Amino acid sequence: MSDESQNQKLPGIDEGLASDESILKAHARICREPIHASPVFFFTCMALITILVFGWFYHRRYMGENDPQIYMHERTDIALYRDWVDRPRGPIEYDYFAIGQELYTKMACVGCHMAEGEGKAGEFPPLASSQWVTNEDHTLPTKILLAGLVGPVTVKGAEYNGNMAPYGPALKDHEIAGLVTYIRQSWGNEASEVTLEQVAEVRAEIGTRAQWTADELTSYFE
Amino acid sequence: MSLIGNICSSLCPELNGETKNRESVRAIDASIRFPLLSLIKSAIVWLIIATIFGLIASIKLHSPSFFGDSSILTYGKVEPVFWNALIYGWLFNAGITCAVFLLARLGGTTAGLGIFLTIAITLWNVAVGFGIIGILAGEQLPYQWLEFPAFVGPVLFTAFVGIGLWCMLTFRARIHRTSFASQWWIIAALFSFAWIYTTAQMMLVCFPAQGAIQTLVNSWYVENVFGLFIAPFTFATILYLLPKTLGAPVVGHKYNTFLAFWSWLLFASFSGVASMAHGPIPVWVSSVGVIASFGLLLPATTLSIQFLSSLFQRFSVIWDSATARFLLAGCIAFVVLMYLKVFGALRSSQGVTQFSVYDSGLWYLAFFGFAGMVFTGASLFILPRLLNKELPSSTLVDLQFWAQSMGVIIVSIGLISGGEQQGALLNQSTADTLVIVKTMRSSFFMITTGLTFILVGAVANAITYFWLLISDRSESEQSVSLIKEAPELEYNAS
Repeated sequence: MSDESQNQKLPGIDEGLASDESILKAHARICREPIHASPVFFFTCMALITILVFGWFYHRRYMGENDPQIYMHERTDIALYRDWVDRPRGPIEYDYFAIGQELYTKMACVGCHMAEGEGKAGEFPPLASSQWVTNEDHTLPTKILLAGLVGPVTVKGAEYNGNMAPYGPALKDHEIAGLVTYIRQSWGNEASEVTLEQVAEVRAEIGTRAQWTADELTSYFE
Repeated sequence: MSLIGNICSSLCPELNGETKNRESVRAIDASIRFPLLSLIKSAIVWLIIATIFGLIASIKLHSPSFFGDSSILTYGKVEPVFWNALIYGWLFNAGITCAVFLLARLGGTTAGLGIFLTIAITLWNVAVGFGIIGILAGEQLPYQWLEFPAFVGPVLFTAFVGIGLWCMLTFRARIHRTSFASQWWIIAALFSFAWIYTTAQMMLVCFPAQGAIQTLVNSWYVENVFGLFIAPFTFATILYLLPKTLGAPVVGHKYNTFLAFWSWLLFASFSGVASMAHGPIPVWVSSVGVIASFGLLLPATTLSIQFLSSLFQRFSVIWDSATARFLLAGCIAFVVLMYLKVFGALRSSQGVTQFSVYDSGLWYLAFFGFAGMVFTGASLFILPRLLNKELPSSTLVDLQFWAQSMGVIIVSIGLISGGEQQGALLNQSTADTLVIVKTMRSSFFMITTGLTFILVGAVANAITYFWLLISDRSESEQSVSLIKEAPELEYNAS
């Protein structure tokens, strides 16, 4: 860099054409000025109007009809969803036997009373052709399933001494009804079906209680 | 030894023949010289690292066997390393460079606690380094742009609090009674980042939200990293450098002050959830996001008209000043980006582009085109002032400018048009994956080409920086201040 080019513009340095203080001062002056018509003002206003108009129509069209539970945005989809929600619904029809059949293997039942309801000698009484199961009064098996049974019990002339846990707290009424129906109608048993409402009645009647003993239930066989 | 001597004299020049005003400005520059140089250096190094990883990722897209046997360099690791190095490495450092310079200069007094700032910056960069290593070691988290292993988050946040505290203290210590729009944007960005980063860490890493909420929080965070953190820094830099390099106040500056600032912050913070359109969330959430994205039309209109008409008003300066040229490129990228963002958020556009490479095309445009160009221009403006040296080679700067511009143009066109193609093909009921992959090959080749250009630019940038730092001082550089005192900004109220 020769001496005579000292005062010329240096290619490697971008000159600052405004001091920091004057930038601040100009900024303060501009902020104090009243708004007057200018291209920037015009286009800002146009943009403001555009987004207001857009926002108005978009929120009318795509807000899920002001229902925070709606997940779809097309009106036809929303109408279909609403129709589905408001579809006519009668009382629920339970297939108690099928429910019981599924639960019998899923729950602990099959482990003790075995797949054919034959039970285990000395420990777990059989369910097949047992008076305790096919009793005319359906409340007997329902009560045992709800609250469990402990201590010695005589079934079909044989003596058993086991411990069955209460299933009332774990299963719902329709599941209890399903299980009772299943054991009353399988393996040659041909007793009546038990329904949800009947289970509810028994449950209300016995309340929360300890396991039954066979002595407490002898009244069913008198 | 002369190398070390050069670096020392670069760092501590003793000059004479200065006016009083210029002397006080030089004192300000001297007080932030060391932290600024380390910030610029980190930014440059991270840019090169990020670009190399991006290049590997893009080559893997069209030639899957490239580094196919390396378990460290699988696509699933290289891609997040690229984005995280880009955002937390390059853009963060470059953005903070501008913030520190602007706050110190506009504060009008020498800034203290330079060592404190340097420690915070070092902590940040070390944490980012550990995060990158963690991702490569397979410890990454599954959230976009939050892939760093969980232990890195608190360290990054601590470092950020350090940097933020320094910035707030410097702002507090300003001698001028008024504040400038750039300062508002910077302060807003600092508070926003603390907000979005803690929220995202809390809701995704510490106490993970369940189900679709995770994606919602993540998309909100991703959009806000740009909208509430990087973009405000970029606006601040542009608003300061425009009057500085052009010698005229920003056109229509008044509307910047209130409408653009607040409407940008309001709409940008909501716009992220727009990308959840068609997603498993209540429809009103994404609709609010779409309306907010469309609302960005307001600040985008105001800002882009201001920036471009200021630049076109003094068009001759653009050919003289490298900084102004970078600003022009950044502002053009901003206009294109906002057009694509605003109209791309609509449900009909998202129906095509949602699961394609379109979005990453927008991020390339936002990061390399808009923020990257502006931050690079600012660093070219800052460096000679810090070191009292001329940029070593204007050819290198030109090379960098054109390489980066070409890179951004090629990558963006490749990804944005390719993304539309990809989305349209995916939407067909008989979409054949192999056909789509073959169609996309040309786009993936364009990314590789573009990133190669960007890498050339990044290397040119690094050469400029290190050459500037270690080169011999000419006689005038040793004794005389090369920076002339800036004249007063002329402003005539109309």
